[in-house]
Amino acid sequence: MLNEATLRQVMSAVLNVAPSAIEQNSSMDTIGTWDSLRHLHLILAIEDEFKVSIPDDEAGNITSYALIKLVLQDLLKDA
Amino acid sequence: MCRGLSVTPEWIIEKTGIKRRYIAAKDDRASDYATEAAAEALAMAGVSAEQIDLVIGCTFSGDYIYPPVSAKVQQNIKAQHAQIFDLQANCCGFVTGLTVASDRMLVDSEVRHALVIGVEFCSRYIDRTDVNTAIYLSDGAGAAVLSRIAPGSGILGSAFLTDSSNYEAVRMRGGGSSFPTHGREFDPTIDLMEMNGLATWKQAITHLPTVIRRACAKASVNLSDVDFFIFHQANYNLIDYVIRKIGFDLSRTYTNVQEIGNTGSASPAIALSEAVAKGLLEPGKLVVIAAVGAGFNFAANVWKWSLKGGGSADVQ
Repeated sequence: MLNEATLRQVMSAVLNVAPSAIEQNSSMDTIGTWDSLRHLHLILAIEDEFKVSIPDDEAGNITSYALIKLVLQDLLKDA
Repeated sequence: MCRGLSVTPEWIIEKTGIKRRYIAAKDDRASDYATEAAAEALAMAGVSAEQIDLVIGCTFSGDYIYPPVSAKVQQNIKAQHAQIFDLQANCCGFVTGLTVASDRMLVDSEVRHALVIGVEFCSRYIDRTDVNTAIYLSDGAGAAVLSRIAPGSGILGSAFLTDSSNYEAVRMRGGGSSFPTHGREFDPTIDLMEMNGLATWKQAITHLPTVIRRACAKASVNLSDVDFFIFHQANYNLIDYVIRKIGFDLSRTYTNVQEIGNTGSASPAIALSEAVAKGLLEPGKLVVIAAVGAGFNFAANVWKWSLKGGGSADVQ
């Protein structure tokens, strides 16, 4: 089961914003520091934190909090 | 370079890792660079030009639209017995060329040694005020000689993948048959390279790990058993991501993009030759060479490394 507080912590650390800035509708379009470089770091940090492997065909597309949550929930459903 | 751009050197280094690029002198030709790389590869391999039966020039920026740059190299090095052709797979050219050369050697016993060259003169097609291309691209050449070896060593497998959904994302239209140069003025919006960085980034992180996994599967090699990786030197951060995404770290690869920039299809060839010269590729080790190019095209091959004469990469 996904711990959203942990996800917010990871995202805030990588994106260099306050955890409170990570909202349900947050995305690459709404967080100025969320660029392509930070996105690479974010994918690897999420994999490290949640001990999952994000599928290659999802890694470039999960550019919003909602999409990250959706993919993580699916990866963690049996955990 | 930053004088014409609205970014700082620090910003460029943070985003790309690239600190230096090479720009060919005005009178230089791509075939000059290709010839020099070819001569060095032949010397390293201990193979004479007369023994070369195939020359593949991998480039999108050769001397002319035609004849192929490989013909000029054949003439320059006096490889009079060699079949020649150029291969245009953008930055995947050299990796594709290695597979094509080894495939030719497998089916044609008359091909004793093959010379595969990656060469680019990107600077001739760059707008120095375009941050999407100017900060990355560079000029250079690299080459490898492939020779025969006992089965079980050399190239073990290759995989290719094309996602043409972003066909227009990286392009050079001017001079193509849809945008001929006659009857019009030079138009920088058509006659210079264009690159959609975000689309390229997305394509690369989606498909580059996949094509590496496929190549390993086709070669019956566990990805976790691979000893070393050579990547197209497009962006240091991208290489860092891909190597970590497939379960390794930067100690398992060699990068020179920081000091050379992105030299297109020459980049994996230059990285490979430098890695060989530094003794990073030991005989018997499993090596993967992988690249992404416009189209978008992805290529990877898996090798059980073996060197003849100290330098040439063996094929079969």
